[in-house]
Amino acid sequence: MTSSLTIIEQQTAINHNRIERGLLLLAGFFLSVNFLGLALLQDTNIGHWLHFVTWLGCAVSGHLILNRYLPRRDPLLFPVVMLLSGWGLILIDRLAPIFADRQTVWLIISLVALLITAIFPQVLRWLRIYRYILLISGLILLISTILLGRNPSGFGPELWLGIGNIFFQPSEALKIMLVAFLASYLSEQYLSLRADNKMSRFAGRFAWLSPRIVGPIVLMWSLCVVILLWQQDLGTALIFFAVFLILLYVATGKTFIILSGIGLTIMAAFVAYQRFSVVRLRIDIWLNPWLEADGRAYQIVQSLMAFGAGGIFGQGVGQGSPDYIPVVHSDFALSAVAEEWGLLGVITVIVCIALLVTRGLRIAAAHQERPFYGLLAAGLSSLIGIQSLLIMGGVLKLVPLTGVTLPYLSYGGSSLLMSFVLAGLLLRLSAEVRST
Amino acid sequence: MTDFTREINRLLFGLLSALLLVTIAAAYWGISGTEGILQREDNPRLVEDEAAIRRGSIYDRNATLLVQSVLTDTGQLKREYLYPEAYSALGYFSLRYGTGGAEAAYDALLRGDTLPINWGTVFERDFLHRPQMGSDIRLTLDIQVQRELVAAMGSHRGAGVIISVPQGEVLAMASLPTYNPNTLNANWETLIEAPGNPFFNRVLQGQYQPGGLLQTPLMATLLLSSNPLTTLTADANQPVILEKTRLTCAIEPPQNDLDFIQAYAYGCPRPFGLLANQLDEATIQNIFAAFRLAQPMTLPGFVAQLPPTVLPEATPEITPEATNNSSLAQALGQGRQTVNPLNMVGIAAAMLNAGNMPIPVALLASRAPMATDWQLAPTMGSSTPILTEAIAQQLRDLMLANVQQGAAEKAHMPGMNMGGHTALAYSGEGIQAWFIGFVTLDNGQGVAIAIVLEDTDDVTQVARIGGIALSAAYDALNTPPQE
Repeated sequence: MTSSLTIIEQQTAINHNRIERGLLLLAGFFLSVNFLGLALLQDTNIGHWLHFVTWLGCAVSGHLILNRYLPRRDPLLFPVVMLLSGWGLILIDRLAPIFADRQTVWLIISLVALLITAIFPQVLRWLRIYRYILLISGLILLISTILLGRNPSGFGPELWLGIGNIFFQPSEALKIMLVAFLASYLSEQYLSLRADNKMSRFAGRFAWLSPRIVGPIVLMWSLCVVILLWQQDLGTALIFFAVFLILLYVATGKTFIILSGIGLTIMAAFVAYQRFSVVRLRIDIWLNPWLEADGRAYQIVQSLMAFGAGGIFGQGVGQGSPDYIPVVHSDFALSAVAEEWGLLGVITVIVCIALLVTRGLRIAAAHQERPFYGLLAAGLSSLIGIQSLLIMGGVLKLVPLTGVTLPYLSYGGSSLLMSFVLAGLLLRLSAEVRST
Repeated sequence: MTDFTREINRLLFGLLSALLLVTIAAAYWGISGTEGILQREDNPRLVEDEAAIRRGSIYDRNATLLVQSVLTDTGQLKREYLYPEAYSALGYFSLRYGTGGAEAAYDALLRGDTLPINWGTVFERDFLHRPQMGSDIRLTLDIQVQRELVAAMGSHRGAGVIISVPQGEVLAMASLPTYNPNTLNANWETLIEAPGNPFFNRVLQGQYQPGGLLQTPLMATLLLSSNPLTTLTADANQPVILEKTRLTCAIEPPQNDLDFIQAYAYGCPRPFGLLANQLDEATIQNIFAAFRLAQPMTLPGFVAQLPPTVLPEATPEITPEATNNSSLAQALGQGRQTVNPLNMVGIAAAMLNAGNMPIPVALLASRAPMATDWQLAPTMGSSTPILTEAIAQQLRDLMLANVQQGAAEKAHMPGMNMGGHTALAYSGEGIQAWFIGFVTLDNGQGVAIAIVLEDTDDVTQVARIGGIALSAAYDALNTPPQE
């Protein structure tokens, strides 16, 4: 019996290996065609090929190492992450070539971080055990950013910590730290949180007043307000709060948490609109960008024009004009995709994000016996989903624009590194499902 | 153990629904919402697309290259205008300021908008992003005639137009002062403020009073009514006073008493004033209508759509002091009826064309990108009758005589059968000198001209310019172009 199970598991691992290899080949083909197109268009530049070869090296070595040390992982996560990050490299090569070398280096560092996170099982254990150290570290990072924060460009929100020319955005690490902390905290409270559901009708009605629920809500809400007040980082604050609500909902199974969270968000947005000019600006522009198409709403209007110019099939790599959008390589990566790869490209990106979210939540659902793993997977998947939705909705004028990156695709070393760590954690969690 | 499958499923449903919403929004902006947003004036892609279009070249009637698009060192396309003398006729193309002149009139052809769309063009344009290519065009202009006309006009301010008869092909068209379209972007602000308004195409947009040029229609009226042209008018050289304006002969005649033929030759208004007193308002309006003077003659599309749209101070304006709407003022060309040089060249051309006024055209042929054969423009050689053949013949003889003796005699060129008429027109404090004329070619066809100078009352100057220009046209059309 045991030997037959091992054979099935081995066969499954081989199949997954084949699927991953096939998908990586597909991603490699897509990227090589686009790198070639870009190289032909912008004179033959050795830099383009160096970046592609680096990506190729990362994909092959990542695949081989994961095969060796994590054979029973989810076969879709790594190819999707590599496709998006390679696509991001093309975008940066095309739109901000001076940052392309730096992003390529970040890709190598990120892959190493992914492999470490995925291969070493201790990482998950540390995240669960040392949750208060995580929380304190996160708070220290936040306070450090408030006190010492800088902006590499010399203007704008000071959300970076830097040594010399190397900058890191602590809020990116903070996202994962908080998800890990909350998953750990809620998993410890899981049985009692769920037990509330089985209380008497009266007790059940007022179960939300339990300090176990209200406590973390107030703590997180306060944290988000601090971020909003001191850093005026609307996007990060929203992501923190949304992911936190989702985790609390998954842990307790109480729908009213989501509803009250939405209510709190609307209330906070109303107050923020009254009090903070940056919020007011974003909401005004969201409601009617056309009045200031040449001024404060220039970015969003140009973004919508990029979608229009791209149409269904896009202008082709290097042949559109997404560079009319300021900082297109960072916040508006999807708009660049829309203009040069068209609606088909945008749908591909959305499908990739949907795949990451779906696979992540599937991993979460498979960890019913280990609430920490389940909540961690759900939190990380939601993090990708919420962050992507915020920025994609922002560049499409569905929601007010928040300056967050599109995971894996946008330029930004910290973002890429933490997104890879997140993927590494999901890979590890997927492998844990198999060994359960 | 309670599981959280339900919560995970709901969460998945919520996130996937939101992603679907994003997809729908992307589809909206990428497909349905495209038209409105891409056509906005603040879309910089429009300028970029426009800049990428390889406009066709412009040639003269003998396939001499006049305008071409050249690639600069920075990889951008630049329009190059090769002949300064043709600037005012060719107009301008500017990404910033639009088009004018021939560039505006044949913009669709030059951009390639008129070319048929098939799978090949769709593939090249939408998939390979090849730049849109426009057709080459061949104008009816003859660069040699154009150069001679502009050279003869020198530093004068005014307009001149030459057409072939009976085809109505515009051989030359000059409006002075003009501008250099090669440096338009750099000088635009200066040019729109410049005295004399160089953007104003005087041939087409000018609103000149015809003055003594209306003597030709009046002579036609006399001939139609069988009145003798030899009736003498005493003191015919005396001026006609129209309120504050004193209308004189174009040049001083040799004697005081003149018949209509002599008055016509010397451009003296008095006999025609006396004739006009016998005409009623309706008759005078009929004369204007018969000679197609009621509306300005146009070459479709030639007038720039962009500023300046106001009348420049250099162009004669009708002022209350100088004009009134009486029958006398109207008949002497000093009423509110104004004309442009294209109106007047039609009258001269009708004399050579059995009383039929050719409809002017400026486009000879076009050639699709990469093609070798020219396709002739469809609307050539039409005309509209304004006189009987007999009257036209008599008027032609009178104009031929004018060049032998009279105010137009400076136009005379030995060996050429040339006719003409000079006149003065008055507007405000300015006086304009007019010349209309023609020369017959060896093949029985001919060339007609109309010139107006705004800065002189010396009709001998305008006649001399007319003679030189007609001579150049004669040489050009009588000598077949070398292939």
